[in-house]
Amino acid sequence: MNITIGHFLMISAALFAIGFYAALRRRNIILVLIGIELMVNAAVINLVAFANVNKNGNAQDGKLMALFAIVLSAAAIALALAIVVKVYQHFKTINPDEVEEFKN
Amino acid sequence: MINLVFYFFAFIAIVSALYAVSTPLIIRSVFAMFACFFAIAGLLVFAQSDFIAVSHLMIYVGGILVVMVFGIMLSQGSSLSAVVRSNKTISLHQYLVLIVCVSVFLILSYFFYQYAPNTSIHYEGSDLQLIGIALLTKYLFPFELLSILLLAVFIFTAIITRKKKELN
Repeated sequence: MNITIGHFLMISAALFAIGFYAALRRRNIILVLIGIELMVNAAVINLVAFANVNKNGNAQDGKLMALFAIVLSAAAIALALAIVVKVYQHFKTINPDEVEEFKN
Repeated sequence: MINLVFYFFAFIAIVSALYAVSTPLIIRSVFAMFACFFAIAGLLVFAQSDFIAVSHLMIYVGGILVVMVFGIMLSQGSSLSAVVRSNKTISLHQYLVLIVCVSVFLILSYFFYQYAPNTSIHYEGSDLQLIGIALLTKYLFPFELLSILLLAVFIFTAIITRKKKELN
């Protein structure tokens, strides 16, 4: 039995659901960031898997899209962690349910 | 045999991701993400894109997770062993989130099962040369734009985290 695109899509669906759970459960800002990372990784697996569908022409489009997505998520996570450090210095907690001034 | 390795990577990725989102200690979830990202890089090799796999490994494992460990140390470093809070009571919010996520997984896997193209994937050699040519011809502008964006992110992160007195 060969490995098809469906295998990759199933794995990415599972990773996306797990990341969505971590992002929605909102226990800790760093866990929310980990959930976002898992969702980006699911998208990257999908892009790279679909890059193998159309072999004629330029087959590198999906891979380069995945590369750009990885770099953009790295930049986003770096900024978000800087904000987390500032939030901790201001509120002395990083639990998003306890940071009250965000809600107003 | 090669399928066995694929299923092994998939198993490691999903199980370590589940452990990362369910463990009460935040530092353990970060170290579970190490295993998860290694397994995802292995899966990317199976999808015929070894350059993406190597860069994924360098960016995520070498960059993002180290930065996350630093963030944890700066934000709750003194209480690494005492993060276990009142997790015994499972609230309504958690049930709702669990239901939503399981339904998301079921919907996604239904559509993928129904509409995925039946193309089989097998490794055919490195894609490094093609990616290099594409990055410097067709995708030169987004490539340079990304470098400028990364420079801006570096500068802004340094500004945000450094000047405490002026910004407050």
